[in-house]
Parts: sequence; C-alpha cells; structure tokens
Amino acid sequence: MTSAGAESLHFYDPHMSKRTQIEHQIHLLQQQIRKLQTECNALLPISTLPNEILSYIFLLCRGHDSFSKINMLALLCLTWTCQHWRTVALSDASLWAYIGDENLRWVRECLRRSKEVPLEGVLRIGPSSPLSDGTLVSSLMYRFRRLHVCTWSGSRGDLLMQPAPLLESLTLDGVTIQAPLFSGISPLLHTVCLCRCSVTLWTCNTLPFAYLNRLTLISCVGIPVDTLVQSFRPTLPNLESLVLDSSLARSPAIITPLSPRLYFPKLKELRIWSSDASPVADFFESCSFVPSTTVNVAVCGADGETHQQSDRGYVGVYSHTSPIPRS
Amino acid sequence: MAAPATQQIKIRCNDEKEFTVDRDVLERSVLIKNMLEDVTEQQDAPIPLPNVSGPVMAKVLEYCTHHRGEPLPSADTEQSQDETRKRTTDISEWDQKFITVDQEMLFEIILAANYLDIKSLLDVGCKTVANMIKGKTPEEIRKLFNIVNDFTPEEEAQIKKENEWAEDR
Repeated sequence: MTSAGAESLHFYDPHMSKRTQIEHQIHLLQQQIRKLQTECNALLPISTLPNEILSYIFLLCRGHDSFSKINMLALLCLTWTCQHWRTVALSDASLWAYIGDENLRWVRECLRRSKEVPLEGVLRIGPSSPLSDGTLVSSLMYRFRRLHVCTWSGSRGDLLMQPAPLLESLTLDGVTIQAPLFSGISPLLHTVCLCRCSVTLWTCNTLPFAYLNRLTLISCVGIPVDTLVQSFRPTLPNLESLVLDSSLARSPAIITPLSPRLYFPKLKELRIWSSDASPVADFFESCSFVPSTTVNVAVCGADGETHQQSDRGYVGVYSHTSPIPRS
Repeated sequence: MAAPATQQIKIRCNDEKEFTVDRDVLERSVLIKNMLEDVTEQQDAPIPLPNVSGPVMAKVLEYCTHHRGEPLPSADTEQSQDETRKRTTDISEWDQKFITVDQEMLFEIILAANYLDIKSLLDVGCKTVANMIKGKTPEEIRKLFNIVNDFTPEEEAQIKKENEWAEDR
C-alpha cells in the first residue's frame, strides 16, 4: 500500500473520533488510578511520619560524604520511590546542598535544588575538570559552608579569592595559596586542613588563624619551626586541636630558652608525626600548653620504626625532664 | 530546688494505660522534663500523654530506663551534636536489639520520640529506617514499605533523564 493510500485511509477512518474518546477515557482513568495509588500510599505506616522526619531519614540515607556517586544515587533512589517521597526530598534544599565536580550538569541541578542554602563541596580540579576555569567555584564562594579543594594542576589559589562569609571548614590539597584567602573575609572559619600545600610565612600570614579551633598540616614540608612559631605568635588563641603530620622542618636558627615561645591557651589535642626528631624537639622548645592538653608524638626513622611515642602527660615529662634528642 | 531522683511520676497514655516511673527515667523526655519543671507543687494526677499509646510508651520507657543517667544534650552542644549524628547511621548493639520491632511499632516509636522530644531515641529510629533503605533500588524500597509506584508517565520520563545524568559521570 502506498503512503498516499495510507493517508487517505487515515483520513476516512470512521472510528477515529471514537478511538480518541476512548484514549481520553483511558487517560482519565489512569489519572484516577494514580490518584488512588497516591491516596493508598498516604495510608501506609511509613506515611505517618511527618515530612521533617522523613527528610531527616533521607539525609541519613545520603550520608555525609554525598560527593560519592553511590550516595548521590542513594538520594536519587529515594526521589524515584513515589510522589510523596519525591516531593519531600525536592522540597528540602539542604539535601542537595552538596556539590562535586565530575558532572557539570548535575552540579547545576544540585545548585538549583539547593536554592540558597549554604553549600558543602569537594572539588577535584584538574585540567579536564568541568570546573577547571574556576568561574563557577568563585561565583559560589559566598555560599560554601565546608569546602575541600584538591588540585593536581599546580597552584589554584585563584579559586579562593572571593569572600567566604559562611565558610566554617576548609581543606586544601595541593593548592598554592597566592593571595589573602577569601580577600580576608571568612569570619566563621574554624577548621583548616592543609595537605601537600606549600606552607610559607606568607601562607601563615594569609590564613585567618585568630579564630581557628582546629588546624591540620599534612605533608606541608617547608616551614622551619622558628618561622612557624613566629608566624603563629600570638595568633592562635582559640586553637583546640593542632595536627602536624610530616610538616615540620628543622630550624636554621638555634632555639634557646630566650627564643620566642608560642602558648596555646586552649589547646586540647596536639598530634605530631615526623621522620626527624630535631624539628619536633625545636617545636617543643618553642611552645607551651595547658596541662590538660593531650599530646601524641610519633617520630619515625628512615627504617620506619617509631622511636618516640607518647600519649597524655607527654608534655610534662618531655619538656622538663626528657627532651627528644636531636638526630 | 531539684526533686529527688527517686521521685515517682504517673503518666497516662491515650488508651488510659498508666505507668508510674522514676522521675529521672521520665526526664529523658524533654517534653516531660519541662512539664515537671513547670509544676511547682507535687501532683498526684497523672500526666496525660494523648499522642502515645500504652504499648509504645512501654517500649519508650524500656529505652529511657536503659539510658537513664546519660547526659542530655545541652543547648550549646546541640548544634555540634546535630552535625555529628547526621554523619553516621551506626547504632549501638543494645539499641539495635531494642529497635528490632515490626514496621508499625518502629514508626510509632519514632513518632513518640518526636512528640516526647527524646532526641537519641528519635535518632535510633530514624537510623534504623535509613539502614533499611540504604543500598536498595526504588523497586526494592517500594516492596519493603508496600509503596505503590504512583508516578505519571511524564514524571517517569523526568526520572529517566535524571538517571542518565547520574550515570554520566
């Protein structure tokens, strides 16, 4: 049969209007069924939970590390379960206030769904990263509450120049800090972790140390203890936790009892890991703590053996009676 | 002046079931604690709890008795604790055993914990539901809670699109 024939057959189809009518009826019935199904769902035991509790359960399902694909899919599964769950999940902006950087389309969708609530983000910025130009990250800086930036493309301190008025926790991995972070505006920042960062006196002067509660330096080789102490002094009055992991370098200057000392009035926990005892000894020569500070020091030699290790009460024993010998 | 820890308090549930409980056990509930603090004279009349049934209250009291004496969250620590509790769905062994109940009872315990303002019990309940859900497909979740798929074809198309986005990573 030719297509012209088919068209004319269609044109003269005597049952067309009846069929349309039936299709319309089917559509209406389907709508009615959906409505009844929704009503049926509303009578289930789980539907007795108020929306805010259901939303909290969703938050627990998603987990804190929502940057992983598994957790994102877990959240999506919840929105695909039924109309009510989807409405609850989509109306809670905080559920979506997490961004990674692997899928720009998804990042934009999360930004849309999270409305204007403070964001948490883990951004792995490499040459092929969709966020590598930094424009989007910079434009979002005012919304971040927690931020983790990891880069393997050298210095990306330029990403961190916009004010971050809501930022509470910052982790930088492999980032070279080039200018005052967040233009000096990060009044809520209390936790900083620098990993594989180039820590210089400049960095120390750049970070808003005065308000920090927790500071962690991991593999940030490069800053001698005397410089570190000078940089910090007297700017760490609120620090409660200090972790120095493979980040202390030997002082070129000899530390003497007359050298400037750093006092941590609120320090509760100090952890040091080092492959060299000398900078650790320098550090203890230069610092003092309140007696209640828990100190844990591990100095590992090149053979991997731990030569010095201590726990609570270490300071009192170490600083007055048995200093770590210089290697 | 704080009342002695051994003071006995009566409560009445919505099915008229009454319990006489040590004050410190009942004070795990912020709602009841506040009610007791507001009452200056000792009252013999039971405290009415119109939103909780006897069997559910019995379970709640079992929890409160086990956890009596543990510190209650204070206002200044609440925010940081809120952050911490959101990060894990771990439940202690005793709590896990305690919360091994049928779904209907589980949701009623959650509702009671919410009404009575017992944050730790609310957490145990919510974490249990979260653990039941975790790792399941939408179809498996529906089956678990007897939920019917009530999406329209248009909504399902949107969901399919989201799925493609999620996979495109």
